[in-house]
Amino acid sequence: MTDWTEILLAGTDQTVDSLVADTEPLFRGEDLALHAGSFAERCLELLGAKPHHLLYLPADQARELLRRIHDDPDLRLERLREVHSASFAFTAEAYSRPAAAKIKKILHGDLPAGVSLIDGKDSEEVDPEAEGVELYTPVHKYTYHASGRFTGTPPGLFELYRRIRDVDFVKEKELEIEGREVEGLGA
Amino acid sequence: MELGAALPAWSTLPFLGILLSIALFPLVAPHTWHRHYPKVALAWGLLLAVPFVGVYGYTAVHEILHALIADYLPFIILLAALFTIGGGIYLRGALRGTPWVNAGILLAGTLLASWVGTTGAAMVLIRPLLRANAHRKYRAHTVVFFIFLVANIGGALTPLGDPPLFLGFLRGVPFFWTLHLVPETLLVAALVLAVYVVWDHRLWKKETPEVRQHPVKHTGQERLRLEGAHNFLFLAGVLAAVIVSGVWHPGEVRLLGIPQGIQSLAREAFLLAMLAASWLTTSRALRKKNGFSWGPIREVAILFAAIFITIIPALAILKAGEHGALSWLIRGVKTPAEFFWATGILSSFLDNAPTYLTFLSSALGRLYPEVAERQAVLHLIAEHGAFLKAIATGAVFMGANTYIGNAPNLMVKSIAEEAGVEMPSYLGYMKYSLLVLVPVFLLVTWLFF
Repeated sequence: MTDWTEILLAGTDQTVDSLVADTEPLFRGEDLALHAGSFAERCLELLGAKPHHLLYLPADQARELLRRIHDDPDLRLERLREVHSASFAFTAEAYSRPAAAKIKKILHGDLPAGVSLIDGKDSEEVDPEAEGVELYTPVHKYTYHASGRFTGTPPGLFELYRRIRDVDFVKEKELEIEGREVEGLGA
Repeated sequence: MELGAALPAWSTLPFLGILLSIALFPLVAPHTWHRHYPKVALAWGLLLAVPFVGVYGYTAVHEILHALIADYLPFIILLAALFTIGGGIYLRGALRGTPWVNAGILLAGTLLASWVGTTGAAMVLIRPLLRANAHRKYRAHTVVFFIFLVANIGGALTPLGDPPLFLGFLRGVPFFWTLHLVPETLLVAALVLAVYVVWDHRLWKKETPEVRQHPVKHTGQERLRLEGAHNFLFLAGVLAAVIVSGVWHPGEVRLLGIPQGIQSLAREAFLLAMLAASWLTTSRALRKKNGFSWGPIREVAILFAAIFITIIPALAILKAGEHGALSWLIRGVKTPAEFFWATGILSSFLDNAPTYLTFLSSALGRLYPEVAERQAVLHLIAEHGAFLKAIATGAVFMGANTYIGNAPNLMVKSIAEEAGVEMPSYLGYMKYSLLVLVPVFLLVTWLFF
């Protein structure tokens, strides 16, 4: 259980941008590669229908934001969820030691508060038969493999997800958020 | 009965087998393939050669020797010479990976590819390109366009540029005929380069201000310099030798019963001399900086020995035209546009050199089934030139459609990944080619075929 909240609302980009302009900390769906609405709704959005927006923020700030959403006729609250936890799986395969070092730094360095690594494994492989430039049988002399699942609570897990998306050779799976839909937030 | 009319369609299976092995093994089992590809090549070669000789005796032996002496040896010697000479040229110094500098490198590589071969041009320029962009976040698209332009499209203008065109030259296509491909090549290269410039400008704007404003800080200030430039002399020697061998006909000698033009033997000897001269006059340290090794030549030598042997039934059957077991292919591919796409689509997934030969034979079998090959090629050029243009451009251009379409593609991908560039997956790469190349090829079809 965390004190973070997920808000799904409909409104134009500009309206939502101005709504959250001064809100910190805040993660938007696109920061976390999360898309709101069904596939059909997302297609409709391409045709100009009101886009959906996912926002993640601490509950006390969410309360203030909800008041402003309620007062704004251009915005519509579609769903409210308490965020309990989140996780994502990843795999990585890199072919140079500098690229591997960047991945190792995340795996073996200090993780953000509230985040842990489950089933994390990594290994290095050196193929002595690899000969550099090859045309028809290219193999890498050095290969680094890693896989695992990060689990935890926001904001740490969200920050890590955002950071890991920028690391080359890491393929992160979709962020899975555990939570409970609620009607409103307590006072 | 003519050999091509007698051979069954299934005799082409070993040919298909070696091509599919080359296409699929690097993707599904790269390490196993790396260790065992000579055995796989040998197995496919023997699978054709043993029953072929068993059934057809001397005729089969003659066909195999002809393929090895008249096609394989000149092919390997040319590739080895270009690769050795190209591998002795090294561009050093600091380049800033801005959109225009990158476009300049791509343009230089496109122009160079027809003269040192697509593999040579890619080997010379891929590392400078990666160094120039080392500080950038968005790099993979630049390497993809490098594969499009330098490793494929740029090789269309001379028989030195891409192996299919040299095989055409060996079959009687005049050296300078490939210059007829200038309009197609110019159009495709210009459009692809223009798309790159727009694409890279958009991504350049997304780079951090530090990267955009202070590239020198990231790339250093070393003056741009070409090392091993004397190798261009050897390159000129190769060019001259190949051109002369196409116009000088001093007579023939027999090698193991196979008639060979003296000019061809002289060319091979001269190319080997150029190779040796480059090897002896270029420092090992410089070659090391280019990542040069004999590995690629060994690969080509082993795999193409199997290709040139196993392709014999396919070419003979196609040459038999309507009388051969592949008459459905002859009937099915009729217009230049169909030849362009059929050659191109197969070249996207199989090696483009044997694909070129297959469709050249198909065109000759369709249009000139009873005519000797060299004469038929000249008739084809004079009377139905669009067919040869379609086959040549289809083979050269569409090798860029996938990673496995042309040998340098995988080499460039591998070098880029080791330099820290996360390259797109096999399907991810095809998204680029479907988005950029296929529309351009459709335009080429509409305008030229």
